[in-house]
Amino acid sequence: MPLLEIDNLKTYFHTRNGVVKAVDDISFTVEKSEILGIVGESGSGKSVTVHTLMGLVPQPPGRIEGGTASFDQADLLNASPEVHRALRGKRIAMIFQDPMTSLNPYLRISEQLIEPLLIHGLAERHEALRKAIAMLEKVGIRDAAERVHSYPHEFSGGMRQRVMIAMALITNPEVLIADEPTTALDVTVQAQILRLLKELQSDLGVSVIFITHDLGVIAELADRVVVMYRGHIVEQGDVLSIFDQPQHPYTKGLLACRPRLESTFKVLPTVSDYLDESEVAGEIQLSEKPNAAAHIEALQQIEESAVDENDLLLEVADLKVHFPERAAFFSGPTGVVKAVDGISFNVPRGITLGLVGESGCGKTTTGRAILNLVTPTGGSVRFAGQEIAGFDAAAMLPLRKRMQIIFQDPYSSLNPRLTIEQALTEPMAVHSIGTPGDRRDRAAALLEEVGLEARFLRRYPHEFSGGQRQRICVARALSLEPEFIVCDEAVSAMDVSVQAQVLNLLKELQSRRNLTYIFISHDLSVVKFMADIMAVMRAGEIVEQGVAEEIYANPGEEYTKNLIDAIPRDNVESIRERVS
Amino acid sequence: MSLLASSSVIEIEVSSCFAVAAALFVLANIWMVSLYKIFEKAGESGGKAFVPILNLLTLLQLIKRPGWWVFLLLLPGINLVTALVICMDTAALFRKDKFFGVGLLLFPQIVWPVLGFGKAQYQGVPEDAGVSLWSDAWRRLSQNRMALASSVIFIFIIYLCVFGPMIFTGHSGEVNNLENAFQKPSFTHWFGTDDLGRDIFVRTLEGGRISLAVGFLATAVSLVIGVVYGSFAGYIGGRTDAFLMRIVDILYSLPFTIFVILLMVMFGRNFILLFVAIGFVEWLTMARIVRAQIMALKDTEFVESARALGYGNLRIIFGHLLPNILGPVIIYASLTVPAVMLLEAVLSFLGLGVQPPMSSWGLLIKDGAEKIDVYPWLLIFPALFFSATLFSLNFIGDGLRDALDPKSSKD
Repeated sequence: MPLLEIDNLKTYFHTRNGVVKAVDDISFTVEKSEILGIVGESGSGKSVTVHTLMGLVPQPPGRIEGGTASFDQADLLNASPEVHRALRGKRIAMIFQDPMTSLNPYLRISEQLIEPLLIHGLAERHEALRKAIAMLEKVGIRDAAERVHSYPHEFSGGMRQRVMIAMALITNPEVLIADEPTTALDVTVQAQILRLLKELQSDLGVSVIFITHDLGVIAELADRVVVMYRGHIVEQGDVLSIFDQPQHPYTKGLLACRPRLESTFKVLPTVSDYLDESEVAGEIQLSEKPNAAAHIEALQQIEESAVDENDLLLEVADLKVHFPERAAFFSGPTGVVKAVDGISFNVPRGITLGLVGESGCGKTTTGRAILNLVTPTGGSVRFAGQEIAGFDAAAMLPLRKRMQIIFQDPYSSLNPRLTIEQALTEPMAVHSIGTPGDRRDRAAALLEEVGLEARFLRRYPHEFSGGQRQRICVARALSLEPEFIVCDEAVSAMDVSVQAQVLNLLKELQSRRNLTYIFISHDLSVVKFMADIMAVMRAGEIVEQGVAEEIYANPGEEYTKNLIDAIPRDNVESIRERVS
Repeated sequence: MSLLASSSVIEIEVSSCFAVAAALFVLANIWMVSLYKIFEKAGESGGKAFVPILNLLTLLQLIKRPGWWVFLLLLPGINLVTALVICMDTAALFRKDKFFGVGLLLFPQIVWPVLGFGKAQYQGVPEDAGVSLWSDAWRRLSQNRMALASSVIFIFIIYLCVFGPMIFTGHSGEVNNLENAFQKPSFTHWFGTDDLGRDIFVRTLEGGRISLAVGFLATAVSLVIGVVYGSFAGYIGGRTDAFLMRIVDILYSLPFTIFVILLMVMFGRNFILLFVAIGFVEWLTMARIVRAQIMALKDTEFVESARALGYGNLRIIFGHLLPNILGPVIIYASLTVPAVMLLEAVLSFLGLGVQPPMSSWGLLIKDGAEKIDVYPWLLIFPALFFSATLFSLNFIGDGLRDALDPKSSKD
C-alpha cells in the first residue's frame, strides 16, 4: 500500500487569458521511505502538483478539475482546511527554495523551530526546545544549544537551509516535500545538503518528494523519478532505468542537454533535437524526431578558429577592489572588505576565460571592476594595450562600444517600460551610430542573429520567457559590436534546456564574431563547456589558473578539487553503484 | 489726406485678411489632399477625404478607433489628447514612430504630405504591437467603474467651473445687489444669493476655478521640484543624498501655519503666495517617495547595463528610472490634489488664503458656515461641489493605485 497515491490529478488555472492546464491528468505514487524525484523545467507543473496535495493552491484562480489523491488512505483533495492544517507540518512537511526568505527574520531560530511542535500539540515548550537543539545537532549545526537562540541573519545560506530542514523534520513527518531546496545554493553547499538529506532520510525513514529542474541532483539522490513536461508526466521509473534507458524523447533531450564534465560536445544537444511538438486539435502532441543522434553528431562538425596566444586583449595585473565598511554617517571607515585582493590574469583575443568560485569569492566584482562599473582600488587593467583602470564615465564612453556585460537575471536586466526595439536601438543612439532607420534595421538583424523573430521588436520584455529575454540581452550587448563580453552568471537562472540553447548561441557568436569572453559562473560543468582557460577564485584571490582542461583533469589545489567533486555525479555507473 | 491714409489702412487689413483666409484654405487643402493620398494608399476611396466629418470617420476606421471619438474632438482640452492619439496611430499605420506622430499634430502641413506623397508604405494597424505596462494599466483602470464614474464627474465639474461663468452671464458673482440679498434657491438664482446679493451658483463656479487652479498648480509645482530633487538625491546617493535629505527634514520640521502667517506678514496677502506656501510643503513628501523608489531601482541590472552601455546619468535618470517610478508618482500626485485643495480651504477658512472679492470653495464654505442656521444654502452648495470633487479625486487615485500597482498586475 503506497503512502501517497495520486490518480488522474488535474489542476487548472482559470485566468483572464484562458485556462492554463498546469497539472493535466497525472498519476504517481510515493512508497514508504523512498525518495521520489520530480524533475521538469519551470512551468512544467511540478510545484503545482505538490501545492495541490498540500491544499496550498489558491482557489480561485486555481481549480482541481478531477482525480484523487490520498495520503495514508485519507482523501487529500476534498479535505477541509482544518484537516489540511493538521496534516501540514505534522505528517507532511515542506522545505522551500530560498532559505533567505523562508525564515522569519524577526524571530529567533528557537521560536521558529518549536512552533510546529507547539501548534500541533506534540510537546511542551521546555521539551520542544530540547528537541529543537537535538534536531539542530542532527542537521550538522555545531554548538546547537547556543546557536538555537540566534536570529536567521546570523546564519549563512547553507546553514539556513539546514535550519529549514530541521524545522521540517522536527515533528517527525512521514512525508517531506522539498521544492528545489538546493537551487539557490553553491555547488559545495548543495553537495553537503544533499548528503545530509540522504542521511536523515535513511535515519528517520521518511518519504521524500524532491522537486528539481536539475537531473544531476536527481541522479545523486532519488530512488524513483517522475519526469514532467507541460503538466503531463512523460515518463516515470526507477532512477537507473531513466538515466540508462530513457524512453521518452523529452527525457532523452533533457539528459543530453546538460553540460557534463566527461562530455566532449562542441555544440550542446537541445531538447528540440529530440522532441517534436505539434498541435493537433488544440492538444500538444509530442513525438520523437528521427535521427537525433546523427543530427547532433553533424552539429559537432565545426571548425574552431585558430587563436594567437600572444595577442592579449585583456591584461589584468594586481587588481584590487576594497569596499570601506562604515558604521555611521559621520564616523570614518571602520575597516575594509577586500572583495578582490590583488589578482592577475591575461585573456588572449578570441578566447573564453572561465572565472569560477563560490558565492562571495569576488568573481562578480572582478567582472565589474574590469568594466569600471565599480572603481578599482588599485592595480592595472589593460584593454587592447590601453590602461583603463579607474577611467571615469566620459573616458570609458568610447570603450563601452568595445566591452560589454551580460547579467544573470534576464528579468531585471531589461527596462520593463521600453519595447525591444527601444532597448536595442538606444545604445546605438547614445553612441551616434547610424540614422534612426539604420538602427531599426540593425535591431531587427540582431534579433534574428540571436534566434528570435524581427516581428518581436514592438513587444515589451514581460511578454517573453526568461530564455528569450536573455537572448534579447545578448542582442543588446552585441548592438555596439563589442570585442569583449563579460558573461556574469549569464545562464545560472535558467532551466537546463534553455541554458543549452543560450550556451550554444554564445559559442556560435564567439566563433562568428571572434568575441572574447570572461565567463563567470559557480557551475563548473558549464564552465567546462565554455572556457578555454580558467581561473579559480577564493576570498578575493585567484588560487589557481591555467588551461581549463588541465585544471579539470588535475586540479592543483584542494579547493578546486572540492569544487569539482561537488558537481553531482550523473553518469550511469555512479548511479548503479549508488543504487546497488 | 487723413481719409486716404485710413482707407489704405483698411485696404491693407482687408487684403491681409484675404491672405490669411487664402492661406488657411490652402493649408486645409494640403491636409485634405494628403489625406486623399493616404486613403488611396490604404485602399479606401480617396474622395472621402474632402467631405468634412466623413474624412475623420474614415481615418478613425483605418486606425480602428470607435467613430464616437469625433465627439471627443469637440471637447476643449480632451480634443488635443484625442488628436495626438489619432496622429500617433496614423503614424503607426506607416510604421513611423511616436515622434513622427507628434510632428503630424504640430506641423500638419509639412508632415501629412510626407505620409501622403512620400515613400511611406501603408502597412495597416500594427498587429504585433506589444502590450505595454501602461496599456495594461489603462485596461485595468477602464474596468474600474468607480474610477471611471469619478473621472466623468470630475471632468464635468472642471468644465462647469471653467466655462460655466462664461455661459451663465445673467448673474454676476461680483456685482453687489443688496436688494437681492439672501434669496432662497429659485429658478432665477439656482443656488440662491448671499448677503451682498451675489448669485451663489456663479460664485461657486468662480470659487471652483481658484480651488482647482490651486490644487493643480501647487501639485504640479510639488511634482516637478519633488521628482527632480528626490531622483537626484536617490541616484547620487552617499553624502550628497544625506545632505539633501537633511534639508528636507529641516523643512519638514517648520510648522506650516506659522510659516504661512510669516509669509503673509512679510509679503502681504498675495494670491501667488498661496501656491508658494502650499507647493513648498507638498514637494517634501514627493521628494522622499521618489528618492526611496529610485534607491530601490538604481541597483537593478537594467540600470547597471545602461551604465555598461555608456548611457549618461541624465539619460538613466529621466529615460530609465523615472518611467519606472511614474506609477507611485502619479498615484501620489492624484492624492495630493485633494490634499492641497483641503489645505487651501483650511487657509481660506482661517483668513490666510484667498481674499474677497475673489472666492474659493474654502472661503465660500467658511462664509456659509457662519450663517448655517439661517441661510443653509450658502453652505450646502459650495460644500457639495467641494466634496464631490474630493470624492472623485480620491476614487481616481485609488483606481490609479490598483491599476499601476505591479503586485496586482499578475492576475
